[in-house]
Amino acid sequence: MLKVRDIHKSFNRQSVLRGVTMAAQAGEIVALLGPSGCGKTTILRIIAGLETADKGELFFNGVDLTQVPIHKRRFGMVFQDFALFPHKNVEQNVAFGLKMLNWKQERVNERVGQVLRLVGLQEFGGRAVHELSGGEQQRVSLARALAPFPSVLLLDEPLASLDRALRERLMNELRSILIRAGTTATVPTSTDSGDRTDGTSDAVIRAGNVGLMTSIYVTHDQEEAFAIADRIFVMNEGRIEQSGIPVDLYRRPESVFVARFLGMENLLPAEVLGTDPPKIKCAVGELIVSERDQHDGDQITLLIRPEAAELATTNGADKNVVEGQLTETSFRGRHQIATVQFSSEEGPIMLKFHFDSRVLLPPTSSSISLKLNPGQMNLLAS
Amino acid sequence: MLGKVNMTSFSMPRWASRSSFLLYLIPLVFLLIFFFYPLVNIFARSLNLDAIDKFIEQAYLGRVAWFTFWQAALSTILTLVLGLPVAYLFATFSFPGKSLLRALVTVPFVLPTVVVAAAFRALLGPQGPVNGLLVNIFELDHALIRLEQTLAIILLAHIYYNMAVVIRLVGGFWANLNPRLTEAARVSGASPQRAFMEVTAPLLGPPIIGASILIFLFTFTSFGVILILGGPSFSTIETEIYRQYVTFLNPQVAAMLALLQILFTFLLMLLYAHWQRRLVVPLDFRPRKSTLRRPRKFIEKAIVSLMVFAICLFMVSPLLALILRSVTDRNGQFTLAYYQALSVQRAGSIIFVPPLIAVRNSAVYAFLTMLLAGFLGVLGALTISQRSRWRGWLDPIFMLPLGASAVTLGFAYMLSLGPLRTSAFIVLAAHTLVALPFVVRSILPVMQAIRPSLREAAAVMGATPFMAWKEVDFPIISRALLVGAVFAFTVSMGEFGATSFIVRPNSGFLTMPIAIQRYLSQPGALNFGQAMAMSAILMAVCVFGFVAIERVRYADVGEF
Repeated sequence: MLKVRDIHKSFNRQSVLRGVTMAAQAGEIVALLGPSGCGKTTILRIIAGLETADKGELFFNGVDLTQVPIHKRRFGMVFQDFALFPHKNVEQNVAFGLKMLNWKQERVNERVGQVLRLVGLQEFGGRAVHELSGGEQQRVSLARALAPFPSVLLLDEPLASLDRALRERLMNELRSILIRAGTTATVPTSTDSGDRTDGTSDAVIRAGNVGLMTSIYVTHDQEEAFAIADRIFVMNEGRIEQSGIPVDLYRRPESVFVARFLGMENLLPAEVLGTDPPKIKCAVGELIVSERDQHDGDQITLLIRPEAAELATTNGADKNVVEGQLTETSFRGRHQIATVQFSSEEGPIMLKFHFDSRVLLPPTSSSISLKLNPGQMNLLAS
Repeated sequence: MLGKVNMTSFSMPRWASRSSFLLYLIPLVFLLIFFFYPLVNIFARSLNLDAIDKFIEQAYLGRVAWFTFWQAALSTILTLVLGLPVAYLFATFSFPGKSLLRALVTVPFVLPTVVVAAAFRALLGPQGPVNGLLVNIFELDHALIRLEQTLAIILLAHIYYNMAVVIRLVGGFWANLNPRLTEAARVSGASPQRAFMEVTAPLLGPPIIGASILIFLFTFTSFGVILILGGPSFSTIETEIYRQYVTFLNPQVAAMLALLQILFTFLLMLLYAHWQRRLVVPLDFRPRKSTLRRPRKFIEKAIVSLMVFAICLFMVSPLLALILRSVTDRNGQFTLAYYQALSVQRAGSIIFVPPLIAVRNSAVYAFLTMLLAGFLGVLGALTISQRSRWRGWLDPIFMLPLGASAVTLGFAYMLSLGPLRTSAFIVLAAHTLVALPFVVRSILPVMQAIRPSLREAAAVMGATPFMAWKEVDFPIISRALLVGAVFAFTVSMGEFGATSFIVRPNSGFLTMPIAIQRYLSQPGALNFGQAMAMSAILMAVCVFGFVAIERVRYADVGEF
């Protein structure tokens, strides 16, 4: 288990990390998600040992990592720009970590073949790295990091420099590769050290390793994080803002920042009117919501998810039905986005809703009645 | 940086393409008459049995060739040993005054060999400040360091000259290496030493070898330094060509030596071109700024400060000694006598014209060289960048004079150009030829980097082809041309090898480097003092030119 506790770090007196605490279980794929400049890459580099924390604790399986030099940690890292060695071919790149462990040549070859097959590049061993496409370079970089059976794999925006179509394809593939590499491929500790000739021992570090590889995946792309991670830590301005499994995070963002970052824009200031049934008042009217742990009179922020609305079939007397004017529709294939304007005392308010493509929306500029689903609305601390 | 040539083709506007065909021929004709024809002549002269017999008889010449080779090899190795740590310093750290220091180590590169030689004699000679200091400290009755006419002082001058090559080539490359590569190696289990050996060192191989070839080439063809600092006891192929022709009146042997020199220098040029291609293999580069850091720990700060101090001392002290000794008389008193003497034609002087004439001549030659080389350089660059099947050949043809040794050139003129050979125009031709590659190198990359879309944008907005050229190309090229012109000026001011053949000391068109060498080769305090004074003036002009170049040139364009 990897434990990070209360890490602080500043560069040139500018504070980048302000007390980051997180943990990752053996075998888990964890994503660090946040906008650029939030410190997610810095925390990754501190785990790798490429930076040192100003303050805080870093433990792996009970061993204090701050006392272990980078090259003795036996972690793997995939860099955003891949950082493939330009003077070595694909095979030599992948073999690098094994060479550092003084493996015998036959075993190196066997393992290199194994990981190249894993990433689907078995034919590419003899190629020069600058002959490869971006996607292929990304795979080589992944294979290089995986080859020496790292106990922790660190991935720094590994898909960010690829084009969109490739990114989507690799996103799906990456998770299955990480799971396969992390569970089935790890060799028992004893045979591993039996082959080594230098006699140094990393047994302390490996002591608690039960053969599962932990992956830490840094990204600014929520879709990537959702597709790849078992658990997500959302970071903002040097702190962990919220953590949880992807579905929970999406269903229950706890702050305005997280909601916005996950692409939810319908945020309105609101006041709690009652708790049974939970009811709030906001600019578009009084609405029934599903959350109960609030008190009367609390000032909160209401999040209305884009999926919250359906066309109201009955008249306006129904609960949670709001009236507005449809100002714009945008057709997106499987769904369509409607922009609806509501009038309030503070001026017009624009909200965006997603509808299934089969839903027949009225023409723009006409008025529209929407029924808001209480389960699709969240109350966030203001 | 090296080889950073944008491959976008530069095409001349259509108005010029047909009618100016003859114009393109001008630089080629110039090269033909003043470079290829004289060199071919050397082949013709040396390839007769009589000459080969004479050549083989002299085992002494074998020793000359061997010495030329190993002094160059030793100079190269020493320069690398001293230069690589400095390259590391430049590639890794940012510190106050860094750009100034970078300029400082580059200054020797534009200084005439004669000035560097004079400066080292000023610094390390028996009356020099170093010996003066040692005599005072240890209360000696004679100078402690006697380096005049030793190998050591030759090597020192060569190192002084060529440090810039290592620092700019290797240091520039190093600074641009992606730091993630080393980090990737470290995370993959390599210790810092292992990461250096596995990743950094192999990647630095090509630039180090490229720099080595250049330094070897420069020191192999070193002339002024060997002649002035080494004296008669040291002889390289270069100085031997000069002696065989001028002193022993033996043109046959000189021709054989020159042939040897030509073959060898062209071989080195080929090698360098080969490695230069290796350097542009797509490596992982990132912008320089992100990789630099300030020294952090105390020990780092101490080492960086110490190195900066040592570099300053090494680079500046010979030049300071030169200035100091140009205004100090025998008894250590301040004097301007040496400068005043420059305007006087002394009875019995080794120079038969007032020395100030040499200053005037040098200035006039430099100015004319600037014009001629600038004119030919623009035409040459246009010729090279034409879309034609000759393109692959034209670039090396214009670069070849860079590799030919100046002495070979001067000697070839003596053999080939008949009655013209000692005329004032030949001096101009020689200077122009030596300066031409610098001018072309300054303009060509800029010219090729102009995106056609700029011209197209101008055309779309209604500019005629001529207007587009005038409004887009010319303003961009003109700045590069200015750099090339200043280069030509300083090259001409300092040219020594070729000029020493053409200009005799009693001639009316004597130049400053020749006069300095004459003064230095004669005994006497006044001769030495005048050499110092004239060297100081020449140095000032070249440093001024250098500052102008650094100010005006586009970043990183036009290096080597």
